[in-house]
Amino acid sequence: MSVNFARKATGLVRQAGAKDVFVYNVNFINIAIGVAFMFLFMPNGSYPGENIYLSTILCTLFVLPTSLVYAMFASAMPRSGGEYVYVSRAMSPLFGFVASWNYTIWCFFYIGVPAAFLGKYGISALFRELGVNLGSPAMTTYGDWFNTPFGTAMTGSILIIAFAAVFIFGVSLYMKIQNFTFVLASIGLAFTALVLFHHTPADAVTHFNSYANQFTGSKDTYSDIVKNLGSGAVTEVPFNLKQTLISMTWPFTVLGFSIASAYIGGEIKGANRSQLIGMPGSLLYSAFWLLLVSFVTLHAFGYDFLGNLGAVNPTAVKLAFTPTFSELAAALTGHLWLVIVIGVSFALWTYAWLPIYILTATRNLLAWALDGLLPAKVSEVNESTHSPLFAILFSSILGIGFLWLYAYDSAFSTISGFFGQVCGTFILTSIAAIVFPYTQKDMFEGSPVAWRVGGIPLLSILGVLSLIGMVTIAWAFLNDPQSGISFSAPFMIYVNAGVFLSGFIFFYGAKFIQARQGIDINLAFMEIPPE
Amino acid sequence: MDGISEHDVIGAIVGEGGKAALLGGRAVAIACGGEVPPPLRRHSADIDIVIRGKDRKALKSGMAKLACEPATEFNLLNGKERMIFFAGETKIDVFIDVFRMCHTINLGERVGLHPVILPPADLLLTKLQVVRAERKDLIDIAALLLGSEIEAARITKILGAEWGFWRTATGTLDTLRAQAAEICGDQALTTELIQRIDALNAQIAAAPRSMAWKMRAVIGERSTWYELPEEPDAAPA
Repeated sequence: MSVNFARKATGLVRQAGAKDVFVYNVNFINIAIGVAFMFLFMPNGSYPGENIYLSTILCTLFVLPTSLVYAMFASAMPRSGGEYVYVSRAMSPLFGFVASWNYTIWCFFYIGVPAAFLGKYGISALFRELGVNLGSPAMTTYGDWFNTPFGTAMTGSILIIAFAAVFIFGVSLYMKIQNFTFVLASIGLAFTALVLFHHTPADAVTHFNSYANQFTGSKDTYSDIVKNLGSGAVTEVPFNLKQTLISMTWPFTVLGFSIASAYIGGEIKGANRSQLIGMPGSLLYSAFWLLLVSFVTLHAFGYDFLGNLGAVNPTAVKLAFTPTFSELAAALTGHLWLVIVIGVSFALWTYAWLPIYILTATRNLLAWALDGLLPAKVSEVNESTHSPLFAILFSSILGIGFLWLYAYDSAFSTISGFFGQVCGTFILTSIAAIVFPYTQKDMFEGSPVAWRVGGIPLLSILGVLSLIGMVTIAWAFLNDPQSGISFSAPFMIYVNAGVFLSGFIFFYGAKFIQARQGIDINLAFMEIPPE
Repeated sequence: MDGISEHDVIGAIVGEGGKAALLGGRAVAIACGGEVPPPLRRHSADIDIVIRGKDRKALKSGMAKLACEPATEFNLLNGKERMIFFAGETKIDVFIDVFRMCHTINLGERVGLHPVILPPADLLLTKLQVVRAERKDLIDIAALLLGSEIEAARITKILGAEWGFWRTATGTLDTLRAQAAEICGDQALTTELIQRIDALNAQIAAAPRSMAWKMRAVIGERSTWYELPEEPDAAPA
C-alpha cells in the first residue's frame, strides 16, 4: 500500500520551535532580575522572619497551576492573543477583551520598566565594576550617570527603538538574537554562581569593602552601612510563615510570567508539545536557578549583610546605587575577564522582558484590530518589511512614554502593575479555565488536552488551583509594604482599577462606534479562533 | 467566487505588473503538456503559486480584482513568506520568494522562467522535499519524470549543497521506485519510470558536494534533517 500519510493541506512551517518557546519564556521570567530583586528587597527587614527559599518554592507552587492553565489553553486553541482568545471563547467576548486590555495596558508600562533596568541595574554596575578593576574613577562616574533618571530613560529609549527595529525585520530575527544572548547570559550567570560559591562571609565582606573603597573612599563601607542604619540594622529573626507568604511578591515578579508564549501561540511549531513543555518547564527551570543563585549568594555574603545592604539608602554611604548580587560577585574576583563576563551577562538579563512585552502588546493590538475593536490601520502591514509597522511603533512609543514616567515618578517605581495583571487578567483566565470544558464542550473534547481526573476535566481542576494561587498572590501584594499596593495609600489601587474598568468602557465604545457604521463586532468574535 | 482557474490567478497578477508561477498538482499537469498517462492523472483542488517579494502589491490588487478573500490573520502573521486567499471553496496558496516546507527552496529567481509554471526541475524539487511522501506526491513525481524535461543540473546543484535535502530526496525516489509498479499499473510505464529514477539517481550521485554537505553527512540521521510542516490554520476574513 502506497499511502502512508494523510496530509490535508500544503502545510506551514511556523517560526518558533520548542527551544525558542522555552528560551522565550525563561527570558520573560528573567532569572537574574528575579534574584536581584529578591536580594534588594526581601532581606531588608520588610518581612521579618521570611525564608527566601520557602517563599520561592511556595510561589512556584502557587503559580504552577496558572502556567499549566495557559499551556493547556494554548494547546487547545493555538492562536496568537493569549487570554483574549481563551476568555472570549470560554466566557464572553467582553471579558476576553477586558482581560486582554488589562494585560496589554500593563504591557505598555512594562515595555518601559525593563528598558530602564538596562541603565539602572545593568550598565551602571558594569561601568562601576570596570572602573574599580581598571582604576578609572571616571568610568565609575559614567556608571553613576546611567543610574540617574535621565541616564536610565535615555538608555532605555535607545533600547526600545533598537528592539522595535528588530521586530520590523521580523520575529525570526528576534528569536535568533534571543537564543544567542540567552546562551551568553546563562553562561555568565553560571560563572557568577561559581564565584559566589567559592566565598563565605568571612572573606566576602572584606572583598566588598576593598571594592567599595574605590568609590566610597571608606575602608569599611559595610560598617558605615550598619552604623547608618543604627537600630534599623537587619538581623535574622525566627521563621515567620505569614511574612514568608507576603514576601512571595518578589519571586512572583518573575515566576508569575512563564506564560509569554501564549500570546504568540499561532506562530509556534507543534503548539501542543511546545507550549505544554515550554510554559511549566520554563517555570520549574527558572525556579531551580532562582533557588541555586539565592543559595550561593547567601552562602557568600550571609543574610545580615544582604539585608543591611538592601535596607540602607545607598547615597547615604556614598554607594550611589545599591549593588545587586551580580556586582557583589564581581567584587569578589580580581580577574578582569571574569568581571566582564559577570557584568555583561547580567546586563543582558536586565532588559529581557522588554522585547517580549513589545511582541505581546503588538499581537494583542493586531487581534483587537482584526475584530474591529481598533481601527484597521493598526493591523496593516508595511509593504517593504512586511511587518505590522503601525502596531510596533505604537507599542514602542507608548513604552518610551512609560519609561520616562517610571524613571522620573517614584509612584510608578513599584511592582504594583503586577497586582493588576493578577487581579484583572490571571484571575479571569483561571475562571475561564474552570468553565471552558462546560461552555465549549465540543472544542474541549476535540482538543489534545481533554484529560480528566476522576471524571472532572483537568483544566477545570487547574483553573480552581490557579484561582486559589492568584488570590493568594493578590493577598500578598495587598499586605506587602513594598509592593506599592495598599489600602492605606490607595493611589496605585485606583490606577489598577482604572486600567481594568477602562476596558469595559473601551469595549462598549468600540461596539457603539462600529454599530453606527453598520458593523456588528459580535460576528467577529464568533470567529475566534477560526478553525 | 467559484470556478476560478490557475490562469485567472496568474493573469490577474501579471495584469497588475507582477510575475507569478504555478506549482503543485495543476502545474505538474501543465509541465507534462497535458499528456499525463491516465494512472498518473489527479485532481488538484487548490491553486498553489509562487511570487517574488516585490510583487506583493500586484498579488493583493490581483486577488482583490478577482474578489478573492484573504485569510487576514494568517496573512498578517505569515505574510512575509506566505499568504492564503479564498475564491469560494478554492484555496489559493501563495509562496513568496521561498518555499519552506520539510526543506527550504529559494524560488523567487525561478519565477518567470516559464510563462505559467515553475520550471519542471523546481516542481520536482517541491515534491522530492516531502519527508512523508503521500501517494499524490509520488504520482506527481512520476508524472514529472515521465512527462517533462527535467533540468538535472538544477536538481544536483540543490541536493549537492544540503545533505538533509539530499537524504530526503533520494529517500523519496527510493520509495517511488519501490512502489512504481503499483503507481503506474502498467509494465512498460513502470520500466520507463524506473529507468528515469535510476538515471536521476546516478546524476545525483555523481554531482559535486559542498563542504557543508560533507560535514552534515558525518552526523547523518542522528540529528533530524527536516522540518515537519503543520496544517495552516487559515480562514477567510
